Amino acid sequence: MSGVTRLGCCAQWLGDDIDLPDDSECGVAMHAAHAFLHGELPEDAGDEIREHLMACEACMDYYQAEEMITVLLRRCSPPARASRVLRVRVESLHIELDTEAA
Amino acid sequence: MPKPVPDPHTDDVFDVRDTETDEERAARFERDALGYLDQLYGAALRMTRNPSDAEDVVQDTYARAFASFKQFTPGTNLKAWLYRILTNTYINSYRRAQRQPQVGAGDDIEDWQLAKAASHDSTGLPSAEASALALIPDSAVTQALDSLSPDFRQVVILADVEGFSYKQIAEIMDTPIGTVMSRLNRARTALRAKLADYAEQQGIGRGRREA
Repeated sequence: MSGVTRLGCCAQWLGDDIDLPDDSECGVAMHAAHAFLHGELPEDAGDEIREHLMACEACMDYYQAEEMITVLLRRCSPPARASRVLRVRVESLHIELDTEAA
Repeated sequence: MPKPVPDPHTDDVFDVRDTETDEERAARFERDALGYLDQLYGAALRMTRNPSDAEDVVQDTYARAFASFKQFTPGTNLKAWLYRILTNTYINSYRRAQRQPQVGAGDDIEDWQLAKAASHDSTGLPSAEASALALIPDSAVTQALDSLSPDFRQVVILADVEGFSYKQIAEIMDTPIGTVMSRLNRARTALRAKLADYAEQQGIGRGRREA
């Protein structure tokens, strides 16, 4: 972790859970990408990422592509609707269970 | 930041379970849990990829949830609780019975690949990668997602589609948060490689790259 300077909070947050193959700023930024995009990073670490992205076009591209993949995943998983039959089956469950218990 | 959890042992926290009758609890279950039916069905559909299996998983899930509803602490996240039961039901009853070939990609992503991707020059992906990705059809995205191992697919769905926090995913999948994060990183790396391959094969974004 010694080589990481400006992404110190990030690197610390990532901690020992992930064995960082690359302690360059870009390496840390890449490992933090999903945590950042999912809103999991603490504020100070998030600020470090934002600063890094402003200065590093390659990481900005990487983040944008990752964000696009999330958009694609949502796009191909539209909300589903349970059938009426299933709804009735589930709604009558506790009556059945109560009857069994009785 | 963990939210403050009400301590059930302090006197000033009123727990509806202390006073309600079985009938009242059944009514509370119906009122609170049935609202998640469509969402749970959607999640089950993504797990089983089959409407009839999905209906069975959901019905089993509600039966189990109803039977153990007394153990659910009111005021905590009911949706995450139901998803955990759904996940367990699916794993115990259905996934083990299925003998689907697990198409590689997933557990075998090594750190060097992550490092290579970090160097940004591994596949020569265009800087306009995001806009090229946007042109990939849903069918190809679904196929890429389905090719992941079950745990990897699940973690991606919970984080990206269902929007659960890492802490909730850790509870649902019964793993440490560190495992959630490493699975997510690896699953998304595999997904990205597949989508980039698809774009490459179909010539999506090629015009931009050459321009």
